[in-house]
Amino acid sequence: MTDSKQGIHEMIDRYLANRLSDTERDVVETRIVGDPAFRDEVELTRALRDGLRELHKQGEVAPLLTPRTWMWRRSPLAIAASVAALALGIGAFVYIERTATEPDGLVVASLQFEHTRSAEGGPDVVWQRTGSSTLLEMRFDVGLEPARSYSVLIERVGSGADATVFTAAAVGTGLDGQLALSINSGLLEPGDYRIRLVPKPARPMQMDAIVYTLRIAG
Amino acid sequence: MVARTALTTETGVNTEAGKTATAQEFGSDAALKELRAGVLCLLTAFVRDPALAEDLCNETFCVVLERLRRRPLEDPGKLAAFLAQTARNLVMADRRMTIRRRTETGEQATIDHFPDERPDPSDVLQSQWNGRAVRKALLELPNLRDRQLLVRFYLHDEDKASICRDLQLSGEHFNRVVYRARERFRVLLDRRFDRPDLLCLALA
Repeated sequence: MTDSKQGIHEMIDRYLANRLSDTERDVVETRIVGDPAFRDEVELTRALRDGLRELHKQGEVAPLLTPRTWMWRRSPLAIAASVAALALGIGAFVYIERTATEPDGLVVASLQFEHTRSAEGGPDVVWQRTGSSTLLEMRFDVGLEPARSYSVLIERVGSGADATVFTAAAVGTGLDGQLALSINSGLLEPGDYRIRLVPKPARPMQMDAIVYTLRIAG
Repeated sequence: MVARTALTTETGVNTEAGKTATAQEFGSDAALKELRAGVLCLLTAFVRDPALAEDLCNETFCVVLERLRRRPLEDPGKLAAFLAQTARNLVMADRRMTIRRRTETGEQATIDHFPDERPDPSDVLQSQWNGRAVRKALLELPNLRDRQLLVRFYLHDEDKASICRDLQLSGEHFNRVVYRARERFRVLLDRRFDRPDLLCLALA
């Protein structure tokens, strides 16, 4: 979505909510008359508002605003893939735990990755490494319409060539619509990482890969 | 509902000066059709009465045609603005006239006690389509927070900043949710619910 398109949508939203000055309102109304594409956007937004009012009138909005189970929406393949990814992570954790020289207790760290990137351009998440081996429970907000599943690629980025440190072929989103991945911190040396989620949509459609960044501080 | 007027570039109106102004002032038939659709869209939103909107739309073009015949616009690029302003003025005039009529006759209050409350059937149908499409679009949102965002923004007209603050969202995330919901809604409306969708809606 371009900034100009975003600006147009914001202006339409404000117009329909009666939040424009008289001058701005005149500009919008002129465009409604003279610009068919703009008018279509206004009519679409108006229909969206109208539809919500209709739902509200019928008492159907409140049930949509309560937590619900989304299991029925997930394909068995995606669910199986999620379980497999979780098992893989836990397996890796257990393996490293057993091979570690110091038998530490189970430490879990939750890392939340938002779909939107920070404006500063820094890493999305920074995790400070501890002395003990830690299970990193990563959760990714993949946005409004998750794909059926995602292939996950974690690459270490640095001065030389990027090195792949972890891959998973198909990971589905969980009950809350987020993608969850658990890996052992032993796999990630201090440094910067790029986590690439490549969507596998349920229907043939173009979906961009989502890229997050992670910094493991030493 | 009043039938739509077949306004073409051959359409003419008699001006006060006794001359005939033609819709050729607006350019091609296609351009005229688009302008008319725009004015009607505006008026329908203003008056929420399709029949009255049609009447006012015709009146708008009559007024503008007359004006153009008498004195062409200095900047032809401002035709859309002129049409929009004329439409708004006519709506205001119509409202003033309605109020005056009420105060003058004294009988209007009696008549107003028996209004036909039934909305236009096509509007009802359209709203029902819209409602179903919105419901489906909302059901497809996996995150409760995203559904809350849309309801608060489009139904309760809360402003973006306060929603972002309450739901701890970035402006970028907000824009993304609204944009995607809008695009999904567009697809659903375009599709107009084929049979499998209706079955899904019945089962949901």
